[in-house]
Amino acid sequence: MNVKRKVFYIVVTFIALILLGFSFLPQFREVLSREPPIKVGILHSLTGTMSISEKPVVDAVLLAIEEINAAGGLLGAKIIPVIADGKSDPDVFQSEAERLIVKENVKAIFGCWTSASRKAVKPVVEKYNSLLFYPVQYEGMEQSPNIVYLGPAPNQQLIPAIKWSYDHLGKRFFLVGSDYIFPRAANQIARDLVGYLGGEVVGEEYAPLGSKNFLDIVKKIKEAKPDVILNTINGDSNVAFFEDLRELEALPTPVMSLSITENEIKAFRGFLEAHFTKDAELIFKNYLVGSYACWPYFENIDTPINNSLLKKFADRYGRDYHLTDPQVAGYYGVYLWSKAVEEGKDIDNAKNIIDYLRRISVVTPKGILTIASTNQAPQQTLIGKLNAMGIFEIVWASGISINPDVYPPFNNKEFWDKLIERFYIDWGGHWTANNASPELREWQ
Amino acid sequence: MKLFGKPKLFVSIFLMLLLTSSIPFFFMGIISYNSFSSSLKKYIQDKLIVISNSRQEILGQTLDKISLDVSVKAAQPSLSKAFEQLSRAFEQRGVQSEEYRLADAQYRESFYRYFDADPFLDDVLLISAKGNVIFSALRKKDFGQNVFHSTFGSPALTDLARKINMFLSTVTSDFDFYPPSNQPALFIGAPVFGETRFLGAIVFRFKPEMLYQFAQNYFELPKTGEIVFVKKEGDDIILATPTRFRRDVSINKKIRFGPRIALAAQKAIIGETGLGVTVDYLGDAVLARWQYVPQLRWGMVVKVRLAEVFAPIYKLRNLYLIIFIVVIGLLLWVSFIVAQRISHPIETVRDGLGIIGSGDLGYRINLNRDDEIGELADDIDKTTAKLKNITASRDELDKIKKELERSNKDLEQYAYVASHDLQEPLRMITSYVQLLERKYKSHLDDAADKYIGYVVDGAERMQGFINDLLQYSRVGQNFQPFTMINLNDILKTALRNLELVINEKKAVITRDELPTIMGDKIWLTHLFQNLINNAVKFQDNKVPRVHIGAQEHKEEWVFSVSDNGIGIDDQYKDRLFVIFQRLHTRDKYPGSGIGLAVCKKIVDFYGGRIWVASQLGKGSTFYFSLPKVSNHKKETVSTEG
Repeated sequence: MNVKRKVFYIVVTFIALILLGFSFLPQFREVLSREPPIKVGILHSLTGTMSISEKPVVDAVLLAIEEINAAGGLLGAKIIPVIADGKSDPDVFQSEAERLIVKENVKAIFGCWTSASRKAVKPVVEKYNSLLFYPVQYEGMEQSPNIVYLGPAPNQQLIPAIKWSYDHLGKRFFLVGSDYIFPRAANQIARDLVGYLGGEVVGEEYAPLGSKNFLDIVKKIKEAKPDVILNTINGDSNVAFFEDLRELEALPTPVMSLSITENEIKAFRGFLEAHFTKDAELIFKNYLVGSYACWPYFENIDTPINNSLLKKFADRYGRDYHLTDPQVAGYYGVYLWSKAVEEGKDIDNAKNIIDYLRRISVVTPKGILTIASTNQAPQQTLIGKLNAMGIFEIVWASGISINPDVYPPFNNKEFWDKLIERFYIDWGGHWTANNASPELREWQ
Repeated sequence: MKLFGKPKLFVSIFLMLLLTSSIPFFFMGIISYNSFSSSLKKYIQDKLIVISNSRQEILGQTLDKISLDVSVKAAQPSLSKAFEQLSRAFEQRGVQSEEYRLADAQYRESFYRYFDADPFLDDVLLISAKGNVIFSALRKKDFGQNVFHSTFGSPALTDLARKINMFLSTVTSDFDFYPPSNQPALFIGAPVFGETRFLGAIVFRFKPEMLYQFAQNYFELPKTGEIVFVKKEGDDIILATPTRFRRDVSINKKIRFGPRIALAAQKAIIGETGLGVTVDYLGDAVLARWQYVPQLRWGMVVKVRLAEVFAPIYKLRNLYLIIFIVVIGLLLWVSFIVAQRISHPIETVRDGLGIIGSGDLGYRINLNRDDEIGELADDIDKTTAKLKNITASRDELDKIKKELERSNKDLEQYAYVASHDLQEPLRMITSYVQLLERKYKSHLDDAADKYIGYVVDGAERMQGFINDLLQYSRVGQNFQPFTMINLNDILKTALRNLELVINEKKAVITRDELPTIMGDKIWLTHLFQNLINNAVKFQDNKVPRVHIGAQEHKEEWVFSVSDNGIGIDDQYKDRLFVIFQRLHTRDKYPGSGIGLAVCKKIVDFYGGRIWVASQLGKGSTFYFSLPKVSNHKKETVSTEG
């Protein structure tokens, strides 16, 4: 009995000593020590004309970060989002991007909506070799080693939208857009394409970003009598545009919009309800329902993965919450980034992360999300028609993902680069035409 | 605790040595085995990831490069021109027309140039915006047909043409069986624009080998390594290319996957990236890396059979097992030897002590070791030698003692026999002298009477002596069997026997409450009686005061009989309890002097002690002790006679 007890003590002592030894092993220490948190920037307009579109993207990015943190974080570290307000002003976007990178030491920025803001941030992320995940459709004609383009390029949205409109709505196009780089470049493509298809552009008009007055433009539309209005107006100007279309009874000319989602529709309904309490629903039905949009994602996709994503957002942000392509892109952008970081075990080297981004994929409701060698994402294309519920019903789907083209095929790279450069020079070193427009100032 | 018949000490030393040496060894073994096998696994996993990433990258880059190449070719103004002419001739006159033949002859050479640059290129097609295949380098069955027509046999090409029309960008088709070439084909096409119009698509058809090469490149792959490409077909997943172990697979011979096997492939095709142990399409357990190939919408699995991954680990495990068994064997042996070396001399000493302890003082351990245990054994040997001497002298004493006891007994026996046998003749003498005195008193002269008187007195005294002697020698010979005796009753009897003397001397007797003990009535009465008698007797002219006390000790009772008599001089105390010793003249205090000797003999018989404390002229106290558990010598009770 005594001997047994002695042996027992000896064994216990040895095991204790061995465990003590284990605690000095590096793997063991790794488990014990928690990594310092990783900061990421979220840079969107929380105020100004673009906030109506951009705020929901902030929600989506935050949700993805929350989910990753809840699942154990990234490389054993917690992700801390630092939210910055671009105030719908490219200059603010630029300075805030620099602040996020230099002062806040963020490892990546998820942000920007307008191409003007993206182009303002581009030199900053390139200078500091940081990363920008850009969630919105754009005009292409740009490639940066530091920007991941998650939204559709022209051949994934604009071109099929025009082609589909040409095939289904008519051959006479009226182009209307906000006066900054995306609508200008998009309409150049539209003009070319409509021409190649044998159609006709019967008008092309621009209003400053944030503009609330489209009466003159709508008058011109009424005179031109187009078959289709190709709408590249961005932000809450869309509310004014549709209101003016209604006002002057220019509708029901079909509108194919490239920057309108259920969120802008919801804002427009809110506007109608505020101004026409009684007739709001009727006006909405007569003038807005039947409008078209083209995106890689609509919340109306009926698949298990989309339903579970919608449920996540509804649980987090409420039942009447809409989910749109830029939000989905923002949400899965975070997952792409974190997966590439996990795969490469590297949080600092942007080039390395981009390399790994090209090797991984994320399953999303709009298909398998990957990043091509041009830092763009192959995308499917959907055409949606607005129903009375304020939801876009999918009327056409591409089926498979289309590889992104940086440059539209009707002209060469030099042509498109020069086009972009000319706008920049004409606008005095800015990416919007109306940098000092009274309407925009009013908004800010 | 005994183990294998070995003593405790051996077992504990043996186990302690074994544990202290084998536990660290055991853990070191496990740690190094684990670290080796995990680093080997990690190495193979990393290798799979590197191969998989690089293959995906090369495949992707190859396809991207071809796409770019196709789009560049599509943008050539010379192509636009050729397209427009061929298209016009085709649409207006048909393929059999002279116009078409001329246009075809004019441009055919320039299309052939594409083939020089790319060995995998199989055919070049021009497809008009309306879907007509207006040019084919090979002129297979597809030439001249409309790809949008419902009877056109290749959904992949139809879909490609539709996509190019819709997206006006370079599109890669599904890799599918193409009936006109009777083998699988991959198409990559790009839109062609004329001066003012969208014309259609230029489509390059590639041989399946262009893709097969990626599955058949085993560079850096382990022996059982395999690269598997899978694609979706409806709800099924099928092998896209032949594999290392299924070379015969072509697209129209499909291996369909069940839901249980080829999980890696099923994960890859839905866009997941990962690494893990799974079962492949052949049913083998494999370590697999899976990822997605976006350009082809394929899943790719790079895998190696687990058996090969674990072969070196198993080898190492076996080696470790052998080393472990050998080392444990060695440790057992060494521990055994060391434990034996420590415990064996201790056992020898213990065994030696056992022999010595059992009485053999002549035994010597004789360990002859030059250490502490050796010293211990030597000391034991020396001590044993000394002990032997002491024991020898003790034995002699015992012998003398026994002789003394025997002679004492003989003496007692003699005294008894003598006193018993002397009684009869003495009684005769006494009787007849008394008769003589009674009959002839006054017949003889005064001197004769006086002499007769002396004879009678002497005979009576002799009678007394003999009685006392007889009484003394009877002590210890005729004890009753011991019973519970209340000493208070015994004392009462003794006092009644002494009533005359007490009354005469007007003595005052006091007593403590006395206990009940195991003993016999007769001799205990004698004991008390003698002592009280003495106490009352040895008095000056004072009133005798006697106190009988009792004191309880742990193992015995101590009784006392105190008086206020003449006391005893210290020099006589030793002689007090010797038979026939008198301290005073018979005239002053009558008595034979045998009383205290009897008392001592009784107390001795009980196994007790008797002693006296006294102050001359003030009184004496006689103490005697009686053990609570009687240990009197039984043999004396049943003495013969």
